[in-house]
Amino acid sequence: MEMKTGLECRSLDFAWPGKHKAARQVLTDVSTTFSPGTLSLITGETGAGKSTLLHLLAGLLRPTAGEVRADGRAVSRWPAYHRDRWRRRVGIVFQHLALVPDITAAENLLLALLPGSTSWSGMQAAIRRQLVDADLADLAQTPAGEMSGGQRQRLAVARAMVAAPRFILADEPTAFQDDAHAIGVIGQLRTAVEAGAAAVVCSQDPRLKSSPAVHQHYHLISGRLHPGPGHQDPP
Amino acid sequence: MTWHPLTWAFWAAVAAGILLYGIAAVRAMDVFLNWQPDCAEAHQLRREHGAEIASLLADGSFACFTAAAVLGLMGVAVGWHPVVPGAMCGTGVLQAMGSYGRQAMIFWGIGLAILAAWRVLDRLNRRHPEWAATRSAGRMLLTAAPFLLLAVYSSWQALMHAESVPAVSCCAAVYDRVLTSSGGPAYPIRIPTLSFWVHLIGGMVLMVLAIFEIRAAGRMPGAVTAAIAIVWSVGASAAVKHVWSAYYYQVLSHPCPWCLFLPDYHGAGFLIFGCMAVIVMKAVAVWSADSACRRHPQLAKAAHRRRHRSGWRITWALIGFTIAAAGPAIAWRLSTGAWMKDLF
Repeated sequence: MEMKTGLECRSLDFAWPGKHKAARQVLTDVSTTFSPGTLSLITGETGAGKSTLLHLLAGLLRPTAGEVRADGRAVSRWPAYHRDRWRRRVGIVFQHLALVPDITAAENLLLALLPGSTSWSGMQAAIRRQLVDADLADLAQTPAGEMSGGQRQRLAVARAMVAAPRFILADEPTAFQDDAHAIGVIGQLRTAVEAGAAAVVCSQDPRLKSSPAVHQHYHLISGRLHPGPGHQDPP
Repeated sequence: MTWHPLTWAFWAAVAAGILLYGIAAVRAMDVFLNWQPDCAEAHQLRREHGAEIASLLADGSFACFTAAAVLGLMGVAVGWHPVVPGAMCGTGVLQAMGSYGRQAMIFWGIGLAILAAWRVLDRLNRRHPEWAATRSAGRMLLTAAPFLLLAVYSSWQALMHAESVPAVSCCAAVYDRVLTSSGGPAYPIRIPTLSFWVHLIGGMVLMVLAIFEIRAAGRMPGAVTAAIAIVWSVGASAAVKHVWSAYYYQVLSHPCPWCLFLPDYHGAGFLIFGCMAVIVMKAVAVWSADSACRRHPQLAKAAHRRRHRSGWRITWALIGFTIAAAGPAIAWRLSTGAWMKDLF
């Protein structure tokens, strides 16, 4: 069997648990590959299962059938302990951000770096760089809970990027951004992709849909993933 | 005895253990019968999730059963003799329990040894993300079931028997054994001498094997270490009873291992037999790691680490056993210039 690099979904099914037929099918037979060096955009109606797919790719949910493979290894089938360790290589932007509101912006970024083996000076440099890229340099010492919605979202994007992950999964990363900052977020994603990351973004934002930075377009309809308009094959 | 707090604590631990083990065993049975690692269908993914839960539940059941065994041992050794008429130590309690008491101890020992081997295998399996040894671990978990059921049944019978028995006589039981084991025609070799040499030679061999595990884990078959540890433990139990205990009691003919657990002798039995239990369990761990490594080469690195650690624990437990068992004898020899028993 051919080993593919990047994130690969193989015949992925997901249903929320329920008694027999009450189980609600969200995703059906999703098969695709998100290669390193590509930015993939998944669109779809509200409730189509975009966030669920991201959570499956991140190993936060278990598929009911099929598997998610990362660099050829079936990570979705690994026991929790190993999935947790693998997730250190994944940067996630949650739709609801999941920041720690009582600690500062810099400390939120530090949390993402702690499981790694980066030196203290390396951590400081990475945090400083991400805060500058996210236009949050002046707010480094501000608690996340005191920031505006857009600032918190940029902080969440910066947290996903700060450990230079191999896989980036972002759920509506530009939803609260003005045009200038949306371009900034897209630029951050593009920089990470150019450095070799595989990025998957779920969004309805027309600025992302029309962005030339996006390599692959998918559309999620009735739990099935279809190549969308403007889809290109992976480089 | 029914209303003794230790009895209630014992049964509570047993009940919790059975509940957790029962649920884990159902899932382990499914894993054992239907495991298909190359398939990513819904039923196999459910089974993988079930295997993970079974591992956690069985871990809990192992803790509960170990707690039950320790509570049962404490009950026999120091807890229940005041409520058994005529009993002064565990010998009297076991006498009141009839043959069920000894059977229960044997079945608990075997059941826990198998669960300890399962735990090693399961721990090694958890080190590998791709479920290499899940089926073997499921089989090992199920193997413990008959022994655990017999242990629970024998424990129930033993406690019920002890409840209704007339007065016992500890000393009569001990001194009857002295008469039968001290050189009658049925015993051409004296048990104290034989047990002493078995445990001395076995202990030295075990120490060498433990050093092997520390210095070059994986060179010796684990089954050899486990077999020698089991033979050694039998010899060591008899040697403690017939030889070393005399230096604690400071009388020649009182071959009673249970009195060693009493506060009069500072509960030395817990240390002596605790070290023995550690040695046997860690030797079983060496065997389990060795067998896992042979069947699943991808676990070799983790298995060697486990054997290395077990080697250290066997060494420390052997040192602890030697100090606790032979310490009073050496002190006696230094203070009096003579051994209490001449075995040479």
